[in-house]
Amino acid sequence: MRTQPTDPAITDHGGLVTLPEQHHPPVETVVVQINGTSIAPGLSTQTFALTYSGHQIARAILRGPITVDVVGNAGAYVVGTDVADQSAGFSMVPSGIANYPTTYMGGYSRLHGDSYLSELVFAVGGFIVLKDVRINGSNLELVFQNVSGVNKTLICHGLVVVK
Amino acid sequence: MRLVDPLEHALDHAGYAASLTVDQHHIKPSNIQVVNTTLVISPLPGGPGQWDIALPFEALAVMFSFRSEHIVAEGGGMAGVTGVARRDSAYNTRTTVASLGGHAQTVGYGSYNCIYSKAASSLHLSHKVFSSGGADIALTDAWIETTGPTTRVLRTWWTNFSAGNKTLWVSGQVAVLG
Repeated sequence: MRTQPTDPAITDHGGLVTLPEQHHPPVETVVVQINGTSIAPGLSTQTFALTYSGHQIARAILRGPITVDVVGNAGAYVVGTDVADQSAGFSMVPSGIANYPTTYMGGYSRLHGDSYLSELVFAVGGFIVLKDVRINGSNLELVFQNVSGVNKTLICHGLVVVK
Repeated sequence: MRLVDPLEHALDHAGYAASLTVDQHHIKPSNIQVVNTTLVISPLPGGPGQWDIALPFEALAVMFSFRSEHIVAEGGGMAGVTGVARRDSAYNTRTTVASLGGHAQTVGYGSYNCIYSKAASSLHLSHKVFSSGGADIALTDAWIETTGPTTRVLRTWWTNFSAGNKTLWVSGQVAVLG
């Protein structure tokens, strides 16, 4: 029996039917271009709509505005999941900004209980940290936290691959 | 109507390709080992050196890891770069790369460890660590290019900052994510 499904990539396999957990949507890529969003002190979730639901893994490489050399920037390299606070990653803040006179590079894991996934590199001068990368239904969510007492401008560029 | 064995499901599309477009299809992840120690790249103001790595035609996104011969730490750690790339049709602004490691012998003595993003118009995606015998060639860009009706490649561009010709020196792996 063949059917004409509404979502071909999810269900159109010539009438074959699979359980949701057996299926796998096509890989998607999300270009992150947050270039000056003001956020208040506290958490801020930046949401990106995906074409498909059912993704389980997010690979994110995100850079902030803090320049650490003539061309490079600080940022984070994170693997996220479809469950909140199970992400882990690698972040770097090489020397070059006033508040960080030495190089910081390290691994972070929300699953281990680390409070964040990066240093404070997602605003000019610091103060915004990456808290989590996760898939929520058909959305990709990047959770940031402004740890200062005043509004800060979030800047984040990168590419996220979900599958 | 029948259920699909989950172990077979990933491959069980061969007889049904007509009902799926290429972009809707999803292939199994695969790994491609790569090496290039022969590509001679001219210095600026010449154009970038180009190295194409063949991919499955259905590839939508890849993760790559390239290492150089440049030592960055005691014990023999090498400079390199890792990142992700997606499909684009021309020189793009959408590849994002984390570059790990840099010029110097040890972290703390001028080593450069940075995140790059073409989405933020970075000029390059790595430091100049990919030439044999010196730090003169940088990864400039990487994206998935369609080269024919049934062929796609990971197109990589490399820039030589020295005064004379240099030979690219790269080994690594390209993981086709899907």
